[in-house]
Amino acid sequence: MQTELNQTVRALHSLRDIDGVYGSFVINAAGEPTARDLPAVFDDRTLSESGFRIVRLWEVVSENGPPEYALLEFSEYSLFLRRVGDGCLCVVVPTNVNVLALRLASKWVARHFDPNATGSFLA
Amino acid sequence: MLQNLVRASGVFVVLSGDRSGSLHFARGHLFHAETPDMTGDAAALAILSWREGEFINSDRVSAENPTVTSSLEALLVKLAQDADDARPSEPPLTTATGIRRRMDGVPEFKTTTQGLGLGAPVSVAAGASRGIAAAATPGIAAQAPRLSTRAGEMRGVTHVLVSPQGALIDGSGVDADALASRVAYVTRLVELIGQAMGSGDARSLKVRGAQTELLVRRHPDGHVSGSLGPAESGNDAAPPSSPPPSSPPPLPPPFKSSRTP
Repeated sequence: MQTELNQTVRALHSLRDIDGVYGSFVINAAGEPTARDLPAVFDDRTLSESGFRIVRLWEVVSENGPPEYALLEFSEYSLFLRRVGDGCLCVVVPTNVNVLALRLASKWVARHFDPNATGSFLA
Repeated sequence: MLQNLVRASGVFVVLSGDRSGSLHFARGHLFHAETPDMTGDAAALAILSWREGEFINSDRVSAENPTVTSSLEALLVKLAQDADDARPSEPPLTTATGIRRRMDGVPEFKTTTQGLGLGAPVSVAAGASRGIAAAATPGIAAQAPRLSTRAGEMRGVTHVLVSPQGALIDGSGVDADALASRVAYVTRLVELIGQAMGSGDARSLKVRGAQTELLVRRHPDGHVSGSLGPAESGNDAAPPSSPPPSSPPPLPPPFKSSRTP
């Protein structure tokens, strides 16, 4: 169990190979964080509060079919979202992140999660 | 004048705070203007007097009947004269807290004319005629108004403009009403996510699907534009509002999770 968790964190940590990536976390279909590789300033409560809204956002934007990714840009930084398993991978990135590289890197991370998981929150 | 120079035709939707209006051009000639409560010369004068505005090159169909009888130049001159007679024509700017901001020296009004590509800020108090003359110089007036979307350039794209209160101001394409609702809702969700994570103000959202791409951009005055169209291959630049970075941004500052409303 511990080994699996470490592998998950290692998979998330690989996203930091992309220049500027601050960190990432994964939420499940309910919006609860299940794995994280983020600085301590992002506490679990914060991720929970964001998580269920991210789930709702993803459901709304999925009306035209499941998106490959979503990029939310804020004044301080951006949030890259991608489906992984039955949840969502959320990557905290600078606004000038290399999206092409991030798409590929996140695709690799997505493979780490069970692709046959049920209960996907995606439409 | 930009419109006169390029002999353009079309409709500009003008937004300024809670106000909105439209200017209709035919081959560079302003022939129709309207606000929610005015049309014709009065509406044109009102729109042109707005200090700040955002201009959207709309796909809206031009009005059939002309209502503006004066030329754009004549309207600007009248605007300048009116401002000289009773300035400021609008209440002084206020701070975010509602405290009136004192205006020192000669006020320089940034008016709607700037958004039309009329060159440097027109100093109304100093005499708008000089600004108009400068604006008529091709080298100055050639600055194009900023387009908020590429709706006019792309086929099969639904475009909407939504007010801060969630009302559909302008829309074109298939099922614009539904897109407006979605744009209004996702904008709110993005704002809440940003508040929860201490990411600062929401600027834009890009959703890339296999076939479609949704772009939502929040304007500084609170209006939101959205477009839904075919996904463009290789278009993975940051959303339109991203300024070119000058240096890597620092780590986000610590924040309190209680910021979520």
